[in-house]
Amino acid sequence: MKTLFLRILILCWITNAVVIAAFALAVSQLDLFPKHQGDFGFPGGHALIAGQTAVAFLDDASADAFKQSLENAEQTTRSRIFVLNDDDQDLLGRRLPAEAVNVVKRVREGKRAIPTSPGHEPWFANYARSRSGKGYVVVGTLRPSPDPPPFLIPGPLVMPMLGVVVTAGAIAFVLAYYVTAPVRKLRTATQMFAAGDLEARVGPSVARRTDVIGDLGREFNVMATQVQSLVTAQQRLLRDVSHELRSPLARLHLALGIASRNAGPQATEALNRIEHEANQLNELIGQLLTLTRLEAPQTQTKGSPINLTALVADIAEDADFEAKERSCNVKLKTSSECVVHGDEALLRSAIENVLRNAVAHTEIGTCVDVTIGQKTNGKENLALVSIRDHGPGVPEKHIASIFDPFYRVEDARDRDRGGVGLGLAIAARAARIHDGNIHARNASDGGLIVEFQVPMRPPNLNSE
Amino acid sequence: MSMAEKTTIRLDRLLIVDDDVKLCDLVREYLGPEGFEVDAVHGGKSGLARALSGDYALIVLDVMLPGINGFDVLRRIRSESDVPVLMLTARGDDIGRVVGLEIGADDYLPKPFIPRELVARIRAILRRSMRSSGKQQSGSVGGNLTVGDVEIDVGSRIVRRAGATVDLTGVEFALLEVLLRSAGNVICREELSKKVLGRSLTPYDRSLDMHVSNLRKKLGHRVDEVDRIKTVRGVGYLYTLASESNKATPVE
Repeated sequence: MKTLFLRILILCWITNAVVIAAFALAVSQLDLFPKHQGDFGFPGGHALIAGQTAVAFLDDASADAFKQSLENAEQTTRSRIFVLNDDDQDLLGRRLPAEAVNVVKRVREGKRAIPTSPGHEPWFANYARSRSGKGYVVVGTLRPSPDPPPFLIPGPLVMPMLGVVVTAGAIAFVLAYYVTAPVRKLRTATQMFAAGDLEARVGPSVARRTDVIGDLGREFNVMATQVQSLVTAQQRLLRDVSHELRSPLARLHLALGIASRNAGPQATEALNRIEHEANQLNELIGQLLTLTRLEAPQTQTKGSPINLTALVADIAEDADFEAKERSCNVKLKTSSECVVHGDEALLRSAIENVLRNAVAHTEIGTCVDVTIGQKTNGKENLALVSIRDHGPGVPEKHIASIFDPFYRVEDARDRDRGGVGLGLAIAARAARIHDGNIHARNASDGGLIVEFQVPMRPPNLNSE
Repeated sequence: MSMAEKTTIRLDRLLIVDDDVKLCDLVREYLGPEGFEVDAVHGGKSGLARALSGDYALIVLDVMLPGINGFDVLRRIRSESDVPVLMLTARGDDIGRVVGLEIGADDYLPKPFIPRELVARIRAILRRSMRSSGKQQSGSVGGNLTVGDVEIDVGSRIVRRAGATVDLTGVEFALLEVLLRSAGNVICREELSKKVLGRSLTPYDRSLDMHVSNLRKKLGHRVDEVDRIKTVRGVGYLYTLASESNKATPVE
């Protein structure tokens, strides 16, 4: 977006500057304003004054210095200047043009010094005196074209040129902004939409435009509405299906309870198996409902402060109790108190899911290490919960996918360990809702490390 | 306040409010041999009326009801009666659970539930309410209990803090009573759960903590710059002996 803006800006700027400069040049070539005006009331005044000045210092200067200063004067005033002695010879030994001779004659005769005849180069002449009082005649003319183009000459033209550039720049900026601003708005809306905000639309400032960008904005809005209705319909379907499954499942459980009470001992094993499967279904539906709730676009975290350290300690305690069944334990290491902001129930279920997963996968008799501390990513402080098991780990090619719903690394074995395959997906969603993230990696000496990070807000919100 | 205290209530009569007719039938069939007589209603309004009739020892209330939802029914029940209520919440809906307990449900059970669990929860709640109503009748354990700025009348179940009455649910009252009786000592969560919820603690069940947090909210988190109810991590809870800390320095 920036480059588009810059491109338009630079292109327009150059174009404008060239057009304005060309226009200015054309105008100057039309000679709307007489060229020689302003030279102290008569054309060539600069030349004479420069010549007289040079003469004034003639006594002190060497011949070379005089030549130098005269040439300088000729250059800066764009003229030719001759300085004549009493014999009408140029001091630098140059030949005087015939017209100049006429003018000099007139001056010596005491006539007016400006007798230009139309169609000829205007020559001017006047007396000059060195400081010692020696008299000379200075005669000069403005050098005729071809002159260098006026805008290439530094000096008086710098300011107008700067004006041209600035004006061109301003016009180009307005133009570039006018083109890119609606595109930028469109892009913001697209980004928000892609990030999961299905309510994102292009505002009326774009949608009401009658040009092609306005068309694009309206098309985007139509598309967004369409996608939103599809996605919400799909989510609602999943949620409704899960909800509707609850009722028959509740009845199934009750019927099962009645059946196992009435049935003889030979049916017990089968009924237990049915109960186990029913419980699995139960779990699955519960987690599906949690997941659909998290995916709903209106899910917003409540901003209440949560002592994450205490929360993790609670969960670790429960998990330790559960781990004893497998002769494992859960060790908690706290390096600092972390307070985060968000939804406590959500964070609890996220960390609980990761931790129970670790307890389920660690080898019998080993321990699961839970650490909680702070780290910084350069921009802000993060609370980091790291959970490490001593199990087989996850093959590298699967490691990115374990947070996908229903993803199983190895079907048969994972099912034995319980769980329905949604726990880590819920944890990942919960992390995302809290602007955090979750990663997994294999430890170098075996086992899986899952790191759960949530940004911490300024500690002044901590009331404790 | 008055309904639950009627001595005519039979402790085996339950009311289930759920729009699933077949489920209600099954619950009745399951709970029959367990010694309960179950009536069922399928709508929020009729459920509310029956719940307030005073005929039942306990109400099993589903959150999802046609017409008026379970939370509203509970809220209206609580405005008139202390009858124990067991909420059936949607699985995966933690917020519903918290809201239910805050409004004054005695316990909750995620639906679909395991029937054994339902029976256990019902028995736990009834045991507790029986205990407290027994106390009221005999008056033997009644009387006032005062710790710091909080005063409870065990007989009339009235709680005052600095003279002002505080509205507590049945569970919260039971919890406060247990905490106050052992004020200054740590009570482990297991014991609290048994005494207050009538069941032993299961991992990942945070309802006890939720009741404690509700109690803190209602009574105020701090008294004399000290936490009123302290969490002793890994063990349980402690009610600060504020009556002593009034005069002396707080015990740490």
